Amino acid sequence: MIGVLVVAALTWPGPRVAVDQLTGTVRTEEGRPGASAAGLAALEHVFRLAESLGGRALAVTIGPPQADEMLREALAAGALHVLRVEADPADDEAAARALLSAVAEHHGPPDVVVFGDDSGAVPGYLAALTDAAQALGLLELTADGGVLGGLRRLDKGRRERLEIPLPAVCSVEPVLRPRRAGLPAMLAARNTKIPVVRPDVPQHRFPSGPVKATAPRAYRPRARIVPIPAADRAIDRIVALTNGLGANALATGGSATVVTPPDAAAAADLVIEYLTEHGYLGDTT
Amino acid sequence: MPEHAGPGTTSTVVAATPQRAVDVVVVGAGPAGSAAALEVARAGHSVVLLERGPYPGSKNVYGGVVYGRVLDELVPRWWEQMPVQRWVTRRSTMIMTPTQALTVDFRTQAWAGPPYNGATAHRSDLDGWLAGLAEKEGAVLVPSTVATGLLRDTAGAIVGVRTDRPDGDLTAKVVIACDGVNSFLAKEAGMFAGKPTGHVTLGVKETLRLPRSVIDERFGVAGQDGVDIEILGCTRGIPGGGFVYTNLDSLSVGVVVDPHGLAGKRLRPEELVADLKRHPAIEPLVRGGELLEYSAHLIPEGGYDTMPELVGDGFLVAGDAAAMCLAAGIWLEGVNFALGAGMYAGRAAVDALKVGDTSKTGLASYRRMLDESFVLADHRKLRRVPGLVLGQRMQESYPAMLCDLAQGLFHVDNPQPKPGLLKLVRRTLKRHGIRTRDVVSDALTGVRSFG
Amino acid sequence: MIDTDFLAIVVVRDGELPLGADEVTAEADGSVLVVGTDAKVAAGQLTAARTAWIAESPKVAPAALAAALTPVVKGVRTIVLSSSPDGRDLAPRLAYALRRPLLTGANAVTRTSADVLRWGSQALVELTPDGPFVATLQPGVRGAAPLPTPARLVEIALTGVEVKDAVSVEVTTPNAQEADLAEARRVLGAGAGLVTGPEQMELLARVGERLGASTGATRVVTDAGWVGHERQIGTTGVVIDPDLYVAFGISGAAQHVGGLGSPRHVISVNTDPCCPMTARADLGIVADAPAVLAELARRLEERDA
Ligand SMILES: Cc1cc2nc3c(=O)[nH]c(=O)nc-3n(C[C@H](O)[C@H](O)[C@H](O)COP(=O)(O)OP(=O)(O)OC[C@H]3O[C@@H](n4cnc5c(N)ncnc54)[C@H](O)[C@@H]3O)c2cc1C
Ligand SMILES: Cc1cc2nc3c(=O)[nH]c(=O)nc-3n(C[C@H](O)[C@H](O)[C@H](O)COP(=O)(O)OP(=O)(O)OC[C@H]3O[C@@H](n4cnc5c(N)ncnc54)[C@H](O)[C@@H]3O)c2cc1C
Ligand SMILES: Nc1ncnc2c1ncn2[C@@H]1O[C@H](COP(=O)(O)O)[C@@H](O)[C@H]1O
Repeated sequence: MIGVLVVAALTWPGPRVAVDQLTGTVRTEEGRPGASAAGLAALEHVFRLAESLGGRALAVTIGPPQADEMLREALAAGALHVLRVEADPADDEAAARALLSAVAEHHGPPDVVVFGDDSGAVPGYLAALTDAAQALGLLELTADGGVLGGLRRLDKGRRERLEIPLPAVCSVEPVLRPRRAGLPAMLAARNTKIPVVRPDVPQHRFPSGPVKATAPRAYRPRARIVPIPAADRAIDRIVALTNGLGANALATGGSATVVTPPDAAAAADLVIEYLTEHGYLGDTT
Repeated sequence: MPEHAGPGTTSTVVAATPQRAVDVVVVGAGPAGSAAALEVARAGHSVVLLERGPYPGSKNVYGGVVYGRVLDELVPRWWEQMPVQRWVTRRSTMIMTPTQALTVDFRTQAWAGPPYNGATAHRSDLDGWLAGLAEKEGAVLVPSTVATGLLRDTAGAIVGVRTDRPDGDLTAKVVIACDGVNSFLAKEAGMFAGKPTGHVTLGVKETLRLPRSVIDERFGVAGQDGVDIEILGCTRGIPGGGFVYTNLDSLSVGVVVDPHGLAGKRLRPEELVADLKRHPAIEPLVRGGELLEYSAHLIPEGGYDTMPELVGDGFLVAGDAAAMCLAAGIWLEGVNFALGAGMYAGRAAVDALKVGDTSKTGLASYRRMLDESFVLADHRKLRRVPGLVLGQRMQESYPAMLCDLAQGLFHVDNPQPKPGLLKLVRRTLKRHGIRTRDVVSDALTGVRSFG
Repeated sequence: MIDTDFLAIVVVRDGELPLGADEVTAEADGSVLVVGTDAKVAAGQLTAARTAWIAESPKVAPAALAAALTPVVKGVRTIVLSSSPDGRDLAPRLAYALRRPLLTGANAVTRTSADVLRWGSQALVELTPDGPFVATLQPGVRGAAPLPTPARLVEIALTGVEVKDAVSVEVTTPNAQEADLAEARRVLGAGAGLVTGPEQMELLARVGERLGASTGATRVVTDAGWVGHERQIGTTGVVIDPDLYVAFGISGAAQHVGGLGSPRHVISVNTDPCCPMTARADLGIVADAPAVLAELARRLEERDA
């Protein structure tokens, strides 16, 4: 086998879930998922990297047989190989181990692995496992003269430009749309059997044993801590808090309200009324 | 976005050699398309099934009532595999005014066991299952692919389709258009030439989630038994009707109405559904349901007289694409007609391939099979029914009249003695300005259609 | 060695604190390890720290930091990092090196457990490892009260280790457009429930003009390409801290809300009365966002005419 191995690790999204906001009951929604936007962007990046590095593109996912469809499309769009990993990893580290062992067994150690940035901590663990350079949350990923370059988002709008040596683990934001497979390739891929690997990954055991999890409950925001206004007397602090400066809930003399107006016009009335009341609009009447 | 490119309007002329990429291309993996592909594949011919959605049934997740009898011919013991929500064992026809409702309720346990009658099913499940059957026989399903136009040879015969994918031309000996209502392919093939413009009705539907036990209790059913309620008089006089179906843990509630009637009354279709959900006879059934899906879709309802040509050189049309849906007030059957038509289209293509003649003549057995089967027989028989059911009397006068009649019958007005039935009928007809002559004429149309 | 059993780790660059720095510090009862370039400058900006350990590092890169920190924090039972880009990057590397479980995207972290957000912030699950662990906390979930007294500062030295990392070539600061959004006092936000094409973003901008507000969007909207990525509000986008935030069709996923700061007034227009955005709004309006926006535009234009 020649050339570098460039791997797109696609997350299989599984069924969409909805959580009942009263009871916290989790139920799965109808309809079948496909690759996520971030996963598809990873795939397109992998095609481009494989082209400019003269390497082989492999698309891999951990997922059930329904995920074959997604891999078939990857094959039709230009992946040289695909691989479906059947495993039920207990956590992101186990997922990274399963991916690595499956890829290594069939195609040797990967040189570049690109995830969508919806892959949780799996890329971080994979980089740790393989001692690879990690570049996550990329807006751009390019290969110039055999060197990977990336533009990564930091917080507060800052960007970091990276030079990424191989082997590398990257994750990309869904900024690229994938190429569309040609019809002949689609037809050819339909008859391809998707290779399945069931890696024998020992469940990673922490010295402390498995993590216990409660049943899910409905999301409730935490109370937010508001800075105490600067004033000497308690009464002044309370006035400052309740004068609409500094406290959401206290500002309008009541707790937050949720209303269901009869139509859009009534809804707009409510918005305008609120904005007027809080001084964002002049008198509108 | 190229994946949503609209269909082309003019065919591409190609220099066609007798060599084609595949024997048959079926466009649209709905019930019609999957049935067609299944029959072709079963006979050992190569067939490609194109679907614009990411998977069959993706455009409409929740469904309605499917009558499976036609499947007897297609899938032995289909009821053991079909993804069914509930088997319909109770069928109610409800006639209502804003404050009244008269229901004819029929229940039979005969429909709760093989060979069954109607079933509620989710479209994504049903369409996926049907397409899967075709794939198992060797049909090649290509999702996320739109047929954008037809390929013709210099003589005008259809020799394949163009798709929105790169290198997207696909040549075939036969193209079967199962692309649903407003079929661009049938139009492009000129099949509608000289036909009256197709009537369409608008179907709108809400799916409401309710716990299974609540549905069982409210509808008086148990296990996998289900209910189908068809409703007349719930559309504010706009030609159409309504329905309530039970799925396992959700209800489908909707109306099927004339879009022109809606426009005329400046109503939005969801207002009619909201009306229906508020009706005193319906509200206790749907109360507390959580909205899961809202869908609106056009349905061809012109019936027999508006169907296109069904056969061309290298070309067949089946299902909604050929206006084969029966949608008139209390009827909403399309899947069974689509399955039947698709199956016969597949068989006709096989016949034609066998003798090596896929011209209009070679494919003529399609029309013959349709004529001899329920597909066209029912449509011929019921050709006047849309006019009857959707007419003003059936929509407005009769529901009100029948409800008043029932109210008169059951209203106890002591110390007045009960009125005689005939007198009651005459009085009610008069009050509603209905002439006996019209009643007789409508009854005759009804008897001719259903007798 | 750091002698505490609950510690926040804050990764800083060029003396600048990341998102959620004071929040993780407060979550860990004021114990924080500030690590990175110009760590001392950054530590001086913390307002919620009681004890800040300061570790200067020649570069900010996950493998190097994990290797250098492991011996230092080995004895700490509970470690919490912010889910900011650098925190998210370091957390799995550190958890792996320390051979501990990682609990990601928490809404709350205690010494013994973490309440993590799941399914697009729709639900909370409490995770309890039977021993030490590493957790990441979503920025913006809790706020932090400034402490009256300055922190005790303890400088520690890290031992460098040769490891494989990507090389940081340069860090750029936001351009003018982002700054405009980041500093705006009033912001209108657009989510998937509002935007189905560029026209709604244009309409939103017109309404914004009339209200003197800047406009931004969720990642779903920027990903779809209806507006540029520089307009994305959130932990991986622009971080804002306006007085007024009006959310149109935004579910309120933690990554979005984490970039909102603490606006004094929040309005949420959403068809789902239970979504997290509406749950944290002062005024939650259950309505169709495109229709409300159109109506609002009409009203404001009429009024100004
Ligand atoms: C609200 C509503 C309720 C209904 N309820 C019932 C009911 O209870 N029972 C019943 O029997 N019938 C019902 N019907 C009617 C029934 O849905 C249709 O008659 C039936 O689906 C027709 O099947 P078909 O295969 O002809 O077309 P469709 O099911 O419409 O399938 C057409 C397929 O072709 C694909 N397609 C279209 N154009 C292209 C193209 N250019 N390239 C590739 N693919 C393309 C589409 O994506 C689709 O998958 C209902 C209809 C509506 C709207
Ligand atoms: C690593 C990572 C980083 C991320 N960083 C960010 C970030 O920085 N910023 C960010 O925003 N996101 C970020 N995300 C994405 C984030 O998790 C959410 O997916 C996103 O914020 C959701 O956007 P949304 O609210 O527009 O869409 P959805 O979650 O799809 O919500 C749409 C909302 O609109 C409502 N709605 C639907 N129709 C209507 C209607 N007609 N009228 C009114 N309301 C309607 C729905 O009820 C729903 O609440 C990140 C994700 C990852 C994995
Ligand atoms: N390539 C992949 N294949 C299958 N599952 C994955 C992959 N990458 C990530 N995952 C899973 O996706 C999840 C990401 O969820 P979150 O951390 O909530 O974003 C992790 O729990 C992983 O188990």
